[in-house]
Amino acid sequence: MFEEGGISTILVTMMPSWAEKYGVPRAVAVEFPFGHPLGLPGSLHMQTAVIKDALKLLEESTGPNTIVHLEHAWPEDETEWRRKWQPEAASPLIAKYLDQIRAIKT
Amino acid sequence: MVVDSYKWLPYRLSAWMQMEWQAPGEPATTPFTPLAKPLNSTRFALLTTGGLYLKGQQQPFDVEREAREPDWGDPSYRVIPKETMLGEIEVAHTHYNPADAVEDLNILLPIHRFTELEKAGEIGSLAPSAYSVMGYQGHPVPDYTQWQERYGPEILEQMKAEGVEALLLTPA
Repeated sequence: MFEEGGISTILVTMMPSWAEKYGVPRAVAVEFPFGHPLGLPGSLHMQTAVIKDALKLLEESTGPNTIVHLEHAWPEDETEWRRKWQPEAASPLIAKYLDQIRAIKT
Repeated sequence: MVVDSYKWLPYRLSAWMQMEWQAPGEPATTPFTPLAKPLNSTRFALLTTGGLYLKGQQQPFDVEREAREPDWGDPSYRVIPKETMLGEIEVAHTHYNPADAVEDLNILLPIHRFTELEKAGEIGSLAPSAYSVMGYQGHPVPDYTQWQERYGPEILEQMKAEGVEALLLTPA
């Protein structure tokens, strides 16, 4: 949509495997919880650092499907955040398919 | 490091997503427009899929219909002016906890960070309008018809009218 319209795009993704699978002009990948592509609220330094990494790739990339995995580590407890990013109630989608999801063998 | 796309997901949920979720067809080639100018003379816009809207001024994304039809997602968009302040944003999105985005929209739509970068001379400018959509577009195959035929072209037209040359995309 946008690249064909003459606009250069840069994606910040938490799911680089999907970007690789389906194709993307350029992307930086962060290992941050969902809903937090630029980090924590009020953390100006963290937000700006990710943005500057994204802008660097935007400027340097020369062809499509350039995906750079960034080194930023999530600064808070990971076990806690595996729950904390999730909605308080399951989404309608997950609620609908919960039996199917629960039937998956671990 | 290699970013683990499934790090934050429960095991069964990530397995289910990888089994059941589908793309709406893969493009033959990925489009690519090189950045035409240095960053410090490029005009930017921002777009997030986080479901942000202006509290009390805009309609929320239609999560009530999504509750009735879990395989459907609202395809519309909201324009968020770059002058928007903290506290003026609300979120309608059923697939993540929006508390942090409501507290600081910059984690998804960094209008204040880009305004700072503009003042510092690191980018050319931030366009007046930023954009918010609600990323979930249906299951198992997302329906991008409305996006491709109506909303996407409308957003592109507004960006072109505002002289936008580059776009930061931030999914939730």
